[in-house]
Amino acid sequence: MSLALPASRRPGHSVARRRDALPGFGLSLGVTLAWLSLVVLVPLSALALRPWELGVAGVLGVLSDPRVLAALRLSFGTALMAALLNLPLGLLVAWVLVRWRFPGRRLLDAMVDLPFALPTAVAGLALTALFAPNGWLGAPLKAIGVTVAYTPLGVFVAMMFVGVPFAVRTVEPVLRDLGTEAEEAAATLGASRAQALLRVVLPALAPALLTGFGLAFARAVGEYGSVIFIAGNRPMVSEIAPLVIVQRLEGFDYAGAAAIGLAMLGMSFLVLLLTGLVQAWLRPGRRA
Amino acid sequence: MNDSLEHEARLRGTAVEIAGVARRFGSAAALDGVSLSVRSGEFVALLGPSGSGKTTLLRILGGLDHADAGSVMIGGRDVVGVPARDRGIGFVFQNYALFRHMDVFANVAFGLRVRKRGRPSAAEIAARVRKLLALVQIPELERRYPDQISGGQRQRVALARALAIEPSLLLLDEPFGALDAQVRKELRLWLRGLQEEVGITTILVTHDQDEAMEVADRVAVMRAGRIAQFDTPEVLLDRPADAFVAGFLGESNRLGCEVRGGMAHFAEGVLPPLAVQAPEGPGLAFIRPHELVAQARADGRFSVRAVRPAGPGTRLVVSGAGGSFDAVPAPDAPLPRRGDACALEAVGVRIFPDRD
Repeated sequence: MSLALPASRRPGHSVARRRDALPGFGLSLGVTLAWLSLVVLVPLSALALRPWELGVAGVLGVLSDPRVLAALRLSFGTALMAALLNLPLGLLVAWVLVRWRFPGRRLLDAMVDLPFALPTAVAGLALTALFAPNGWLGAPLKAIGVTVAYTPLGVFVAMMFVGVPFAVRTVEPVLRDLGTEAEEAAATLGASRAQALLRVVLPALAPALLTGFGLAFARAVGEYGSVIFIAGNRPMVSEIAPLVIVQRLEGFDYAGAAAIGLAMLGMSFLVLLLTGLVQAWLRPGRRA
Repeated sequence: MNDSLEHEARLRGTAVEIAGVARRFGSAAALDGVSLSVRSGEFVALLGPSGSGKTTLLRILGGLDHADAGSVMIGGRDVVGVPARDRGIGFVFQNYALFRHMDVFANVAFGLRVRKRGRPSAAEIAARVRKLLALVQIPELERRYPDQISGGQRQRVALARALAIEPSLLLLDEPFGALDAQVRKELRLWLRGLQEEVGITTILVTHDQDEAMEVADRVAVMRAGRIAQFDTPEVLLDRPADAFVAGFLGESNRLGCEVRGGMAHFAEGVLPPLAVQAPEGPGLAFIRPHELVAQARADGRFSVRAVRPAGPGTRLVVSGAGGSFDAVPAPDAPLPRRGDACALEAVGVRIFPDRD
């Protein structure tokens, strides 16, 4: 039984009764597993099984289609870059929110969550209108020779937008918890501002920054609504992988769509796994 | 640590001269004209209730906060406007503020590694860190992380880290606050020994009077942003400057009285009138338990409520008109028992004018 471990660890605790101070572990674990299987595991297994009705050669055929490869490259390459750039920006926003009190701080605080709350299509349309060649930002940018809308750069902008809250909200509590004492200690020991930041603050924030990176990346890779409007969706240039999947589905090529989905799943898993490994390696005391 | 003469000279400890320092947070005055003069090599405690400004004063000395007015001289040098990193002062924080992602060795080495000019070689740093860890008696913890060691050990790491930069002044903010009573007692005696060994001027902030009285050469009692009295523990106990110090330090029985013609008359005649040297008018009398002698007498107006036998330190709680008092039994008489009637006599008293 699942309760055996905590009960046996407690000296003087009756093993026969197997009662824990906090009851309900068995029940809650059961519910959790059942719910997770239903909501996550079953759909994912379906996704993992479906493509193979094409046979191994068929799956490889779908994945070696130049258009699919280009879409995967665009989706993952851009998502990685957007998540990377979101790290310093998210840190900056979190820093401002935690360290300073200023009028409008609460407004800024609420604004950070807007990309969470906004329907993605609305965000996509707004970004497109803003960056279109005749938009508020698009027109001046066009004047200096930069085109955002309907290019991979537009995809990047949309992915940055949806990733902001993840980067900010993962770092913010850790930064708040860190307080200013460690920095003050560094200062009394003779460290400059830059040294205190690089040697004391950033290493302490690194695990949270990695989590933020992982989440922002995952969201950007899977993002559909806010990206497709601004992307322009030109095959081989600005077409993202989720859109290719939708196109396959519309052509009733379910197995082909699932094959691309499986590839995305595998790559995302790899990125998140690597993030987790780096995090474990960073944890104090694990290296000794 | 390194044995060079120059090093010895630096560790000899500097004098600290604070004059008229004031600091406000919004409308509240945290420090209200504080002056303090600490001798080279001295161990001084800033003692006071929370909110008395003692930590603010320490932070101003360390360069972590600034004074709105007044001057701060450390080793004859005016440090107003000098940032913390250029002061070369060892600071031990209340919660140690150890760098959690660094092991003990890296924590102690930090101050040497960030040095821009005259940074010692890696081998020198290692040698010095090991010497410091030996000095604070935790050489075996070098590779542990702060989360893996006990509170007392973290305290020693924080101290070693602060001493690594060879400061001439050591500031400690409630260094034993987070430790349990046994460890706290042990550590403070050890700290005092270490301070004498190194010879560094040390200022410690605490709200625990036992700690301050036991460890410090002189204690500055602070109240509401001012220093109420700054003197040796003996003087503070024997000749407190005002009613606050008398009531704050040590145990006291507090009694209202009226001084007329050089005699103190106690409210409700609790005690027989006493010849005192105090200003005429209403007063507040502080009588330490050892100055209040209970004599067993059948016609006594008090009765013994509790007896705590401890040889010469035996204490009684007696009660009667005017409340309940801590007293000692009369010498050369059998120990009274609970319920016995007794009379009280004061053999010593400090009286301050009662302004309320």
